[in-house]
Parts: sequence; structure tokens; C-alpha cells
Amino acid sequence: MKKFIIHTIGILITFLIVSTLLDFTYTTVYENSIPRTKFQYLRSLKNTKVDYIFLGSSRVENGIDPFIIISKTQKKCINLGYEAAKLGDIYTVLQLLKSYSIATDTVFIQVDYIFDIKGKSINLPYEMTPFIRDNKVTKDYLLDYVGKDPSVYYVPFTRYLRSDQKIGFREFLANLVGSKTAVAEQKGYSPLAGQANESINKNHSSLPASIASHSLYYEKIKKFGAENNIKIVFFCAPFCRHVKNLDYVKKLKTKIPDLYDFSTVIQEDSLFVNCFHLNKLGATEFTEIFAEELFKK
Amino acid sequence: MFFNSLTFAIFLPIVFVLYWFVFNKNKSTQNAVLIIASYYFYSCWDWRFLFLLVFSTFLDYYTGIRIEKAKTELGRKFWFWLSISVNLGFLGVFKYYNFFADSFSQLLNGFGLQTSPLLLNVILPVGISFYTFHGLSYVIDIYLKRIKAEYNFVDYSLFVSYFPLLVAGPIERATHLLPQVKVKRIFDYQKAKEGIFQFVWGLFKKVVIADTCATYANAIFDNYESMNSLSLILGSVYFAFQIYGDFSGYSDMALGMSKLFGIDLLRNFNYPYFSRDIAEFWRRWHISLSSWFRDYLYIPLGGSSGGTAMKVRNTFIIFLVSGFWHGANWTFIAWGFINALYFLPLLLLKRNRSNMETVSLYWDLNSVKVFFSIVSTFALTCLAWIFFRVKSIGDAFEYIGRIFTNGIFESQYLENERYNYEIIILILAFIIVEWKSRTQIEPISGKYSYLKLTLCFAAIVALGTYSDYKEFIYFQF
Repeated sequence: MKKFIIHTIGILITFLIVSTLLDFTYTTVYENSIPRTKFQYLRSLKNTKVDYIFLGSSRVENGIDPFIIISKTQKKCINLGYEAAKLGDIYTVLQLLKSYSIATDTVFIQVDYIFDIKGKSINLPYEMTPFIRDNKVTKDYLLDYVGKDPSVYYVPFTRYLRSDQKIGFREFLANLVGSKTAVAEQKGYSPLAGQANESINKNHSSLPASIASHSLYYEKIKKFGAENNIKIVFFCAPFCRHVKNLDYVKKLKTKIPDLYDFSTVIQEDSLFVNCFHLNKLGATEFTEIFAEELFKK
Repeated sequence: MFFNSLTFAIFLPIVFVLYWFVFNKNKSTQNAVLIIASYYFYSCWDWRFLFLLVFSTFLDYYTGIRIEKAKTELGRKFWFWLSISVNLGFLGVFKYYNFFADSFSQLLNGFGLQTSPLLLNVILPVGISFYTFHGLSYVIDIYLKRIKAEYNFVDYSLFVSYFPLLVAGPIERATHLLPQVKVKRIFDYQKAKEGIFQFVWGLFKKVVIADTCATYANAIFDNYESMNSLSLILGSVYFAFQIYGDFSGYSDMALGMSKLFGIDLLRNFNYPYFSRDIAEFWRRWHISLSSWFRDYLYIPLGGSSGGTAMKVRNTFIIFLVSGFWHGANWTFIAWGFINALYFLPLLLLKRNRSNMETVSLYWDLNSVKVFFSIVSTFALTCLAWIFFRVKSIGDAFEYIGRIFTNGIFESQYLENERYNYEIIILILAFIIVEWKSRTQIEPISGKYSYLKLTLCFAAIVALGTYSDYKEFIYFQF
């Protein structure tokens, strides 16, 4: 039995060593590869200055073309919109800008019904996962995401197991061989192809009928901007004309008085993929309108 | 509580310590630990069905004794048929009632009689098909005077409910397992070491092979209408490896952990995809079930000893029943039927036992023939698996039809955001490892076992599928 116990302990130690080595290898590769995800792109901007940064959900990711802003202003601009991002995610990205020493003058934040909802973005947590040990912001955000389960932080490789479909062996290999994505080239912008079909007329998409009295993260974002000398500009991106309860944006304006309301500036159905998302042509038109309005001076 | 779960990783060492260090005085205390652990393990699935398991165990225990003690043939028959009826009755109610009610209703609807069947809203108790078959074999063996009845209820309960085999087999025989639980187990280092290797290899098959293949197979089978010929072929191959990795992986884990308690279970798989014909495949696939049907159904029906008509009849009966055992759906019956069609020519030409020795390949002409036999047998198996995997027989015919009519053999991007061909290398590597170790129980033992174990761990950690978790397929049976 003694021999067996030694054998079993040996096996457990082997398992631990294998997990630690794999954790180290994966993390090193993710840290040093060319940016494939938006988070890696964000990290690659460490210690630089970006004049204009756009934050928000997919309505920013798919709807703001940074190249138009650059051509109009001759300043550096990036799009850090994340699919299904909420105000909590946006606040986290803001904190990360500081943690990674990415200086900026102005941050444009898209706000709509996300003012009311809690939760987390779809992509941000797993894109951030390899970098859990980067700083306190990433650690706190991910621990909150996994329900305070400390194993993702302390047990080697556990965090990769939890997200193996997204950052597992396949993504690791892609990073290792330097397979490129468009994220850096497009400065975070991800245009949508296609066009809404005729059923957009019968659209049942709706904005909330009422609005929350306040948003904790909105207050935090404002405070963060003030404390760090970053100008925060809130705006609302276009919805298609068939969306119900569009007066929600008016209610939102009572909560965010300096909100730039672009919710109705695009009327053509052909410029949308669906009622909440512009296609590439729509994004171009919206960004032009946005630049015209915000940078007219 | 799955074998590959964190809770089981805590449960197993606790039982191990209690078994070998605290209650190791005699076989009674050892058995008591195992039976309590087994009932706890089962109640983690659904504690309500624990009563069913205990009742089923008691029924077979009691009727076994009554059959042995019966003074008249009528008495023996009474207790025998009582046990058979109640056992099959449970299976009928929990597993097959809705199928029969629904099929009967559809039949009446076909004749223009509109009926809506009275369906039972019950969930299938985990492992019912397995522990029922344990009990049935025990009672049949007593009735046929092959074994003596067991008078110790704890020992008998352990035979039925031993947790490594409780929910998905292997289907044990009283002649094999009962003698082992009747004596005190002495710790055997070599056996325990082999057990760990076998358990780890089973885990590898489950999380690396089965669950990874499942991701691709599901993406293809669930959207087969939009898949090209190459994807459909790969889908059936992926499912073949999914079900093999899943079930043989489970069996390896069961056999491996049982060795930790000094108990050997029946081998359930013997590298079935290296079979040279379907008869050989069925000697290597789910061996405990195949041999159960052979001993308790095929041979009593006359086996292959009668005339051609009887051979044909018996072959169809055994394969159809085997298919139906897997689940209450026409697709499983069709799967059994197809396997009967594959098997029949071999039986009639008396070639069903022509490939008994270990398969080998050399650089000669005969090996080319052997190689093509293996590939063609695997292809036939994959074709049959399509019926096993789809939701209806109509889907199976459409799936197969599309393989031949689509004609596009290109890479295709699947719903799971991967290309259809991406795991071919993984499967080929797995085949090579299995081929090299086909004369052993698992590939880790032997030379460089620690290096192989380390590589296995690395594969389990790095290549395993965890976030898209799949239950063991055979738990539903």
C-alpha cells in the first residue's frame, strides 16, 4: 500500500507539473503573439496614446468606422466595442486603459438600453482570461464572472479548461503560428455584411418601456473620467425606424443630459442588418454623421 | 455524479480510504462500505429511484432463493416468471411504455382512427437497463441450475449495485462477480496501478476523443440538410469515434477504478474498429451485452444449430432486441436490423468465426486484404451508426441520400465555428495509439509508462473538451 500511495502522489505531482507547464506555455504564447482578439489588441497599445477611443456594445463594434474619424481629424482613433457589452464591461475597459497606461483625451461611450441591464459581455471575459494575472482589474473582473471561484486564479490551467472552446488548444495553435485576424488592421471595427430583409417592417424589436432610476456604472464611469482627466462623451447609435418604444432614448436623455442622440438619424432600412445593427454602408454613413456632429469645429 | 466530475474525484478517494484503511477487517465490512458508497452514488442521480433499485435487488434476491428452495417444478416456474415479469415490467413502464403507446396511436391514425395516446410523464431511471439485466441473468442462471442462490443480501446487493458498473455496465454475471465479493480483498499494488492507468486512459477517451468528436458530430448531424458529402461522411466517422470513446472510455474508467478495490469486471471493448468483419465487431463491441444476449436469448432460441430459417430468425431476433435495448425508438431497431443484415451472410456462409485471432498487418498482399476488410467493416459500421444517431429513420435515409447526391467534397465551416476536417489528425493519432496497443488492455502500461502517462495527462488537460460538456451516451439507456 505504501508503494501505491507513493505512486499515486507521484501521479498527482506529475499532473500538477503538466498543468503548470501548460499554463505557462499558453499564457506566454497569448502574451507574445500578434493580436488576434480585441483584448490582445488593447494590450498591444500599452504605453501609447490614442486620441479617441470608442466603447460600447456591438452597436459600436459594428457601427463606428475609426478610419473615417482618423481621416476627418488626423488623430488616432480605435474602436473597442464588445459584443453584448454592458456598462460594467465598459467601466472595466476604461480601468484597463489606465492599467495598461494607454493615454487618451476623449472616450466616446455608446449608451442605450444597456443603461438598464446588468451582466457581462460575451467575448470580453474569455478574451481577458489568459491575462488574469496582468493586474487587479482583470483579476477582479474574471473572478466576478466565475462567481468568485478562486480556482481559475490559483489552480494552474483551470481558466483555460473553463473556456476551452474559445481559448483552448485550437486558439493557442493559431496564436502560436501567428495566424492573423482583422482586429488590429481594422482598429477594432468589425463591419457587418448583408442587409435587413423585408421582415424588418414586421419587426417586434422593442426598447424598454421604462428606465431605471439610476445606473451604478454610469456614475462610476463619470467619476472615473473626472478623476483621470478623460473627457467622456455619451451617445446613442441609430435604431431602425420600426423599433418600438423609441421614446426610451428621451428618457435616457433625462438621466444623461449631455447624451448625443443619433437614434433616429438613419431612416433607410437598407442600411441595417437588423433593427439594432447597421451594415457596413450604414456604419459608414453613421460615422460620417457622427464626425460631422462631434468634430465640426 | 459523473466519473469525470470534480465531485467524483472527491468521492472515489474517500471510498478508497474507508475501504482499505478503516473497514478492511473482513469482506463483510468491505462490502458494507462499497454498498453504502454505491447507494450514495446512485442517489446523487435521483434519490427517488434508489427505492426502485433496492426493490429490484430484493426481488431478484428473494425469488432466487425461492426458485432454489421450491419443491415442485411449478413453484420454480412461478418464482422464475414472477421475477422475469416484474423486471421486464419495470423496463416496460419506464423505458418502453411511451414508445408503444405512441406507435400504436400512430398506427391507428394511419387507419383513420384519430387517437391521442396516454403518455407517462416519467424520467428513465439511470442504469435501469443495466441493473435489470444483472438481476435477470442471476435469476435465469439459478433457474437453469447453473449457480446457487446467494443468501447474503449485502453480497447480492453489491453484485447488482456496485457503483463502478451501476449506471452503464459492464453487465456482470453472477458467476464472475459474486465469487469475488464473497472473499476478503487483499490489496494488490500491481492491479491498483493498472487500474489507475486504465482509468486515466478511459478519461482520455471520454474528454479528448468522445467529447471533441461530439462537438463536430453534433454540428453536422443537427444541420445535415445543409452539409456537403464530405461533411456528412466525416460526421458519421466522428460519431463512430464519439460513441466508441464515450462508452469504451466509461467502461475503462469503471474497470480501472474497480481494480483499485481489488475487483475485476468483465471486459467490455476489445478494439472493435480493427475488426475484419461484422461478426468480429460484435465480439469486440459492448462484449458484456453481446454475450448476455448470446447466452440468454440466442442460444435458448436454438442459436445457429437449426436450419437456415431458424438461423435467420434467431439472428434477426437477437439484433432487433439488442437495438431495442438501446432505446425506445425505431432508429435503434433499424440499427439492429442493419447489423443483422450485415451479419447474416457471414452466418449462412459459416464465416462468422473466421477472424478469431489478433489482427496483424505486414508488408504483404494478404495484409492489403486485411486492411481493406478493416476499412470496409468500419465503413459499414459508420453507415449503421447514422441510424443510431439521427432522430428518425426518415432523417437517416435523407442523410445517407445526401452523401451520394450532394457530390461536394470540400471543407465546410460548421455551426461550432470550426472546419469539418479539423480533428482528422487527432483521430488518426488515436487510431495509431490504439493499433500499437491492441494486444493490451490500455496503452499506458509497459515500457515508459510514466512518460506515456504524462503525455496522456497533457492531452487530457490541453485537448479535452470541458466547457461544452457531454453526458455519457449510454446513461440514457
